[in-house]
Amino acid sequence: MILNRRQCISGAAALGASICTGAYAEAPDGSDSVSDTNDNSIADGSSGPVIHVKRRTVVHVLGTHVTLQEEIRRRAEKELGIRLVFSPGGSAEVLHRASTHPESFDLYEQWSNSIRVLWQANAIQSIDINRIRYWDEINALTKTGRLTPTAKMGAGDAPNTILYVQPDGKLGTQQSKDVSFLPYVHNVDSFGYDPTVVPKGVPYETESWAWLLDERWAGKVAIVNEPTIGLFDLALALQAKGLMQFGDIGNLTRRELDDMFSILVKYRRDGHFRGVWSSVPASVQLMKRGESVIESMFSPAVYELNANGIPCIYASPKEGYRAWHGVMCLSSATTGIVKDAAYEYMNWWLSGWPGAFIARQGYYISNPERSREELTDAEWEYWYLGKPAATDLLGTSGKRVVAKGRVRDGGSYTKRFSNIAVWNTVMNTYEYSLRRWNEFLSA
Amino acid sequence: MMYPSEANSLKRRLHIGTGLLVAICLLSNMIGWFGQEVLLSNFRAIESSDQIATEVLQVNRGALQLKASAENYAQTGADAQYNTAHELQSQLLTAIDGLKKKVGENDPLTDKLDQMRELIASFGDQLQLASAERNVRTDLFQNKLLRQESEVDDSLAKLEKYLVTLDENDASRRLLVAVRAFSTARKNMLRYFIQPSSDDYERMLDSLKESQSEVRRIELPADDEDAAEAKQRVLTALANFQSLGVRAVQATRGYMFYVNVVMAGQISEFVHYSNEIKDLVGEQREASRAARQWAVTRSRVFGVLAAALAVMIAAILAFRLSKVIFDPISNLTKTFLRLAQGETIESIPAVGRNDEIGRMARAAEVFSRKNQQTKELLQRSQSLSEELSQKAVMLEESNQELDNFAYVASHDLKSPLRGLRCLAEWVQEDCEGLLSEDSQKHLLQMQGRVTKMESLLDDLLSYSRVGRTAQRVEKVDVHELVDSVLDIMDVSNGVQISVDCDLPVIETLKTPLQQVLLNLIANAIKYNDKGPDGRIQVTGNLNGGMLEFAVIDNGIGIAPRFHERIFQMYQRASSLQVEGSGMGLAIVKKQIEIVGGEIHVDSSEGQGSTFSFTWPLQKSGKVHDVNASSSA
Repeated sequence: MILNRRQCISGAAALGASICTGAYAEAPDGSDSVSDTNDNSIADGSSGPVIHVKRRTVVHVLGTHVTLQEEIRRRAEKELGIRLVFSPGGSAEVLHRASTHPESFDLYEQWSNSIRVLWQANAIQSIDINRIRYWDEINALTKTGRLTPTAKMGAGDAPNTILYVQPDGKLGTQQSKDVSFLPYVHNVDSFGYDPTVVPKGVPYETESWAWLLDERWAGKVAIVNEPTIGLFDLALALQAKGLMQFGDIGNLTRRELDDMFSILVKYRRDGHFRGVWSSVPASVQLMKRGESVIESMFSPAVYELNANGIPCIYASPKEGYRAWHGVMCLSSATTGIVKDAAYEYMNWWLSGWPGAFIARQGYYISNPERSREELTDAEWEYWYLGKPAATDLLGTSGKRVVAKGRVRDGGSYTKRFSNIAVWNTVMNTYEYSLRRWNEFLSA
Repeated sequence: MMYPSEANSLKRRLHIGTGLLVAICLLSNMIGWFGQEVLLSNFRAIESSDQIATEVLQVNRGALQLKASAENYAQTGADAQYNTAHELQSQLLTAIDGLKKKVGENDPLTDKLDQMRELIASFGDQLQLASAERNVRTDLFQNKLLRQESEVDDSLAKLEKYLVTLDENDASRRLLVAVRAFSTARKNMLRYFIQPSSDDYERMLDSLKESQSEVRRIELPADDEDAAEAKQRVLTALANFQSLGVRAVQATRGYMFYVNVVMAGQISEFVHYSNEIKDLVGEQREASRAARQWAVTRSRVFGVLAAALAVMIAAILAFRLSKVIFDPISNLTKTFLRLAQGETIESIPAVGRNDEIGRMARAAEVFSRKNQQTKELLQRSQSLSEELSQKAVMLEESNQELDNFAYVASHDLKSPLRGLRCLAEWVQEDCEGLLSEDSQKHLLQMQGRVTKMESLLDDLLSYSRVGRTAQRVEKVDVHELVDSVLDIMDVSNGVQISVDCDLPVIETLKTPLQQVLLNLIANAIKYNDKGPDGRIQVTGNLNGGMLEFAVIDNGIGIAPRFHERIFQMYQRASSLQVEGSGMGLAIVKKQIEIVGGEIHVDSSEGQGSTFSFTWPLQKSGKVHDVNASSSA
């Protein structure tokens, strides 16, 4: 990696009239060294003085664009004095890479549905909660599966069911000092719709997953191309429309999958679905171009559309949300100072600023109170308390994403997470569902 | 005079009208040209869209083939299918790039082609990743896992051998459980690879853990390093087997995910765009056809409308021109005809117009006014003529009365004069000696004057008798008539008279003609001072219905100032002392005019004279029947 200009200037200043021609070199122990040499040393690397200005530990982070954002990387590097190498990719791609090549990353950031795969593959190691500085601040959602005692318990892999390492090495709900992931970013998802086409519904009362199968929007419905996510959207839609009833919507049987896809394939053949999307920008484009008017959607896509003046409502289905929990996992191959640095990075994530940063994209952090100081009152009240925005609110890109007076779709953090229908889950019928998913796509 | 302004002139209107017609013709041609251009453009668009449609169909077919190949590869994992899919992907990208160049940037196809290209490009990557996963899985399953399985078997066999030598039943039992668990794990792994299922995978892991757990629980003598090493080898082999198994499962899952989710999703998307592109091209072709049909219809309609408009405008122009030009001109023509017939028209049409027709109308108005004046003049002339006629009648009556008076006077006075002369003669005879010389001289003077008076009265009587005496028309040989006149002439002065008459025998009033010729010839003789050199020529010709006579002499001539006067009564122009009353030419003139002829004199003093007159073959003029008065 080439030195940036500031480093170059500072190096040059230290060396007086010397010319900066430094370059990064990764040290065998996982740290970077930055060396400045004078011009006489270029031709012969051994002849000139080598000044080690800084040694920084390199942490490779594998994940998705949701959390691997440049601003976060720069901020963390600045505050932690480490070097972060982000490798963002598609969810399936990074999961696969992580599960088969644990040496290719130090930290893995994705959804909780990755955990079982990674854990079974021994791709990740347990995290010692004693090294997590703010562990005690992590709220009940991750630890118990419910944000409040009265909250609805979502089906599927609630985070608490895969958090703790059990004595037998498996993951379970029994608390222990070792956890499979660092709880941090989480949210609830549903579907977004264009209110200029789809009549605006009443959150939790009339808005329903069944809308995804409403014949009025035939040809304009899109689904996320991820069976561990989109499949639940469709299952919730079928159940809400009364076409099917599932025993456990978080763990569908083969029979249920057969029945479900026989219905969905018919819908697909009838042209009900516009198609599937595989990334947030693709979901934005689908609605932006008018190809879809209702679709599975992630929170940033909704705010991206609104920031561009395209109306989009993030539905609050009366049947409940499909929730997901972000997981930050430590590679089984990471050791030594890199592991220490990785712990520092995990602690940094719960230190306040990152939580505030991702709050502006609509995500929640597991210890929200620490982020409150980094948010304005208006932001806190809008994003977490579900109150009308006291002012226009800017997103992380600097664009206005919330107009003054607007109330967050679904209301407060508590209300939203009290209405979880199902968690994103890798079911036992995962492989089978893949084949049926293919049939659905190919229909 | 008012002249039409440039703006209102007929010329300008005609120019405008002609210009409009030309403009309509041009417009019609332009519409036709434009229609043809549109049609040609449509044909070109259709040709282009046909070509694009063909290529789009090829792309669509390619996309479907790529889908089929990818799906076949997903089913079979055959390298041939993978290679075919890759080749098709490459061809598709080339075809899409080629197609994009032919499609305009603003064409909706471009956007969809971009979308499709992006999907197919990344599809290649996904295909590659899927293939890599499949290869990893195959390698793990067919090679590494088998080797590791053998390693586990070998390590288990070696440990078993040690246990047999140690005779450790409990350990042997645990090893047996471990072997069975490993066997179960292998069976589950095999089942997983035959038909992937998480349950089998978990059972495999559980079995392996059980196997490992049992092996760990085997208690060996502390000092038997070989046995410990064998045990450790088993544990390592099992761990490695598990690790490889997990990787193989993940590779399988990864392969399945790429194939069933990522690739299938991309296939469905690019097939969607491909179909959309095909449909869009189809719609564009239909739209082009519809546009062409519409252009044809529109061209026809415009053509018909333009023609109808041209005809309508031409008709309106013709009507307007007719109203503005021809009708007024027609009315003006009629007006001029009426004016030519002498009518006067109170109201001239179009006189208020400020153009050429207005000018003509105002000219007609002038004509009308002239006609009015002419009419008034004619009326006045007629009035004057009537007045003149009345005066002429009165004059004629007066002349007639005068003639009558002259006749009566001369006739009635002759007798007393004759008596007076007789008395004077008688007195002279009776008192010739008795009277003094003066008295005799006076008496003689009295006789002379009485004679003179008689002569005057005779001439006056002759003059007044002209036309009063009934005359008969008779056959007259003009030559003989002239000869008879010459016969009675006293040509004592030696004047030579020649006659040059070649006239036929005519029917006319003989006596007046004879008297005219007699008087003129007598005057020519009488006023010829040349003696023997005097020459008189009498000519006569027939010209149409008139006889033309001339009496030409080389006598003393008459000054032009007397030419009028010599034809008046008792007027004489000559200074010669020639006897005469001055009534001869007056009588001649009256005789000629009475029969309808005319007399002229051409003469100058000392140059002789030519008296020419015409005499109609048929008698005309007025011949008064004066039998009653002459006999009285």
